[in-house]
Amino acid sequence: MALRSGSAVPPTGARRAADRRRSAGAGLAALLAVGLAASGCTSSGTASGGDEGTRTLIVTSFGGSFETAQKQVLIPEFEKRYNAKVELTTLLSGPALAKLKAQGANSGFDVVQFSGGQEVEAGTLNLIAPVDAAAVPNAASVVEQAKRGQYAPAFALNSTGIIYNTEKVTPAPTSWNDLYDTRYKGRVGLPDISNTSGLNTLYMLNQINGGSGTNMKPGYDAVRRLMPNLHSVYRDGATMTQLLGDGTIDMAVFDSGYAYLLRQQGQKVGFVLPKDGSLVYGLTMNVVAGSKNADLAQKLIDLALEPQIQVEFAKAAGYVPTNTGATLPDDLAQTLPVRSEIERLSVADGAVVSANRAAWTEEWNKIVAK
Amino acid sequence: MTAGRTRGGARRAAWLPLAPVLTLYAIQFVVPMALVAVTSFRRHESAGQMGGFTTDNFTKILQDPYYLGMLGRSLLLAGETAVLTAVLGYPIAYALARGPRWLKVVLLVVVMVPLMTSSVVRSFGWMVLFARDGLFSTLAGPLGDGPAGLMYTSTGVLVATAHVLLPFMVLTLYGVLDRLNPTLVHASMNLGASRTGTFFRITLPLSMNGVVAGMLLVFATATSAFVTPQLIGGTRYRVAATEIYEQSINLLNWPLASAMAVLLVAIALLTMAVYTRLSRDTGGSGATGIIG
Amino acid sequence: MTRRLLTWAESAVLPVVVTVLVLFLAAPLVVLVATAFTETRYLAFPPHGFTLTWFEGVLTDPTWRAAAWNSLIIAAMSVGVAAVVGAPAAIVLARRGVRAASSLTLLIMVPIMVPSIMYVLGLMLGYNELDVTVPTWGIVLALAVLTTPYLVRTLMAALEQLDPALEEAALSLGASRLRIWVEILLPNVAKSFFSGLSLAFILAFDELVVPLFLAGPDVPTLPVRIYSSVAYNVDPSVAAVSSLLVLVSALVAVLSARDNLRKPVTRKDGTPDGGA
Repeated sequence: MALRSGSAVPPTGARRAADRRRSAGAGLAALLAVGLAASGCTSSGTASGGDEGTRTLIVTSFGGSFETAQKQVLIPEFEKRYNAKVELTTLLSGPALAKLKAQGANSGFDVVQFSGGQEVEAGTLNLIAPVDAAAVPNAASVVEQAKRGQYAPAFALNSTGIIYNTEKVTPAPTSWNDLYDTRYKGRVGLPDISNTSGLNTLYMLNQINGGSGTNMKPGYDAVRRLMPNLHSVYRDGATMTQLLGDGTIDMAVFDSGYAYLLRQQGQKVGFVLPKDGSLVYGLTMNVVAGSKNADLAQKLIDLALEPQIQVEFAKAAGYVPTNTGATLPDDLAQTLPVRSEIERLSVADGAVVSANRAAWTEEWNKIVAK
Repeated sequence: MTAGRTRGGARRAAWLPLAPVLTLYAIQFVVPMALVAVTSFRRHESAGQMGGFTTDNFTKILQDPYYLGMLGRSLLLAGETAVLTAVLGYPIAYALARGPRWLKVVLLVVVMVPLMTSSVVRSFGWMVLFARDGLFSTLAGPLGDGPAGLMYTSTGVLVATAHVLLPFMVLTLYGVLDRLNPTLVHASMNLGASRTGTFFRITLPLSMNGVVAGMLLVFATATSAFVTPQLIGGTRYRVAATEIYEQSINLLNWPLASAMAVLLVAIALLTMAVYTRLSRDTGGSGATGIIG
Repeated sequence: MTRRLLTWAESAVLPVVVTVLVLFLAAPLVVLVATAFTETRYLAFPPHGFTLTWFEGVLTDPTWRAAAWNSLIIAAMSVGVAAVVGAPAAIVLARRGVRAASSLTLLIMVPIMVPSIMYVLGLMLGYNELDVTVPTWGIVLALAVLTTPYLVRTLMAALEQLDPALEEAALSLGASRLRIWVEILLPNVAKSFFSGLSLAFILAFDELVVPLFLAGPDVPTLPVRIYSSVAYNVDPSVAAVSSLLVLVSALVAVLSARDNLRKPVTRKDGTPDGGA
């Protein structure tokens, strides 16, 4: 509509325009519009809302293979069952919590997904709403580690460990200390602290070096000592996949889900949960407080907790189901980190993490900056 | 129809056409800028919470080598980009102004296409080129520094930023070179000067104004470059603009983000002021000329 | 002798340098287009095999289409706003109709001299303060501020270069002011105005930082969608989208360059338009 004010300008006399240098830009607007319309944006109805009667849930997701798996397994089933639409927006847990803190329900999200225990802080600040046990019947049948009190339980478990190139790293790493092996100078990658895996890395390095929630110095020193071996610090799994896949790095700290996926793709990688300890964490979906679609959001959460969906999701993305009724086929159970192994891992102290996240982030950034 | 108007009335009516733009600027530009300025003096309590007034944010940035280094890196990147685009842009602009018709068309297309393509897309292109098995690393071979070529390096960020801003430089220079009176060049050659001598004695000095204008435009834009450092530089190469984003969007430290923005703007405006002063002395067209 | 050497330098070195620079400018775009055809699920250059799957996927994906459509609408609306507020200002300023016209012109240029991240941050803080979701017109207005300077500058340049004799002649022949505007001035600057609009449209369409700070998840724009894909979901489909954008840019550039070629671009020597 606004374009019309441009194209309504009479073309007559244009040849005498004095400013010829500008003529290079002539016709661009209309052409861009036409070009893009022709390339597939002719059906404008999809822009917002959709058909009348169909409601749209706006949900954050973590991108990469996680998001792909949700698009394959969870979303189509949900849209079919409830005649609704789901729009996934890529936003990691930290930024998603920040968005909620800054804008609350004004952020426009109905459901946010967290992987780093952010639901504890979001719950305390009333940014997410408790779920109704009747609306989410599957919440009753999850394992202990997945429970979140009055909030939605985790729909999958994940753990932080070391993914390594089986051809280049021999013998296989078994401990966090193997990251320091001088043979891998400049060939180790770490996830950024903005990513849950990165925060877990700092947390664990601190813990095994004698630190605590109030004393992070051992952790910082441990990261500092790792600098000679550190090649890159990635924010997301896709970048990690690229770096490990094309042989830029040999060892990468990340999660079991990605390790599973890389193996599925035929890459020669192994995954180890270090013997000196690591963290298990739940992936949660949370209803944003004040969302107008809270009822629908709870249905999505319930579906994500359904055994069959969890098995499919595990097959697609490699995350461990939380519903006690979800039984993995044997081959899958062998490639995924088994539940007994996960049970020996600890859970990060959510309160400590949320109180110190900003300070840890600042120090971490200073250490890894070139 | 203007007959009955008093002189004062006409003067006042003449301001009327400016009312819309001034209103838009007041609400959408002046108010937000003021808000940032005020916020930069607020105390950061916790994520998204602000307290009373303080100058701590500025002290923190100016005293902590980490934040100061970030500002310095932004300035260094902007300075290097300005020099690099001038060096790379001059031959293109020269060929564009002096070359045969077909070359003009080719060059115009080659310069316009990147200009019209989003800087996100162009940075993405460089990411692919810089990747380990990318063309660049293959060509550079043993010369490539580090295992992953130029990805996540300051050189990589510089190359990509220069690419993003090169069209602006070329068009600014072309504007100046194209307007250079060709009779001067002919006169010089008629008087026996060599082509190269003519270039260094006539063309280059007369186009220096354009070079400076282009460099300042590039410098001002590059100080706030966000996309390229974010994508190519990754997490370890941080500049002021990426940190402002990180602090304001992810960490919700609005006072610190605001203080960094204030310092960045102060630097950009200072650059512009110096230039306007400079060009007034040399009779140039002033800072507004750079957009022309 | 030296002269010949130097002439040789210009005729041999310059072409080489220009060729290298052309390759430099084109390289990242060409590479993107090439990788979009790869059969692999990751980005590979040179591409492995040849497939149109990624283009097909992108063109049928409603989220990409929605993003493209949002960008078109938002850019068009913001350019509309910029035109409405910018055109009257440009006319008055070009005619020195008010006192301090040159200072005012400088003032209008300020948004492109200030790092945009500062005022976008300010807008975000403002909407947070008001405790509201950023409305779509909020993004439109922010982009209008960014594009108005370009539009005003283009239009002013065109108006300033118009021969005042044209207007005087018409006046002396008894034409009304309105008729002069409609029949003489507007047609003469129409092309420049349209060029300015186009430039502004492209800038608004491509802008990332404004929507990245301001836009909610329900109005993703194309640059934000591409950015988020490059940062978190990189695969050949982003390359396919990028290729389509490059293709459109190339098409437009070729057409406008041909347009340039058709008309005599070179000035006749001695004409008085070399001023300013």
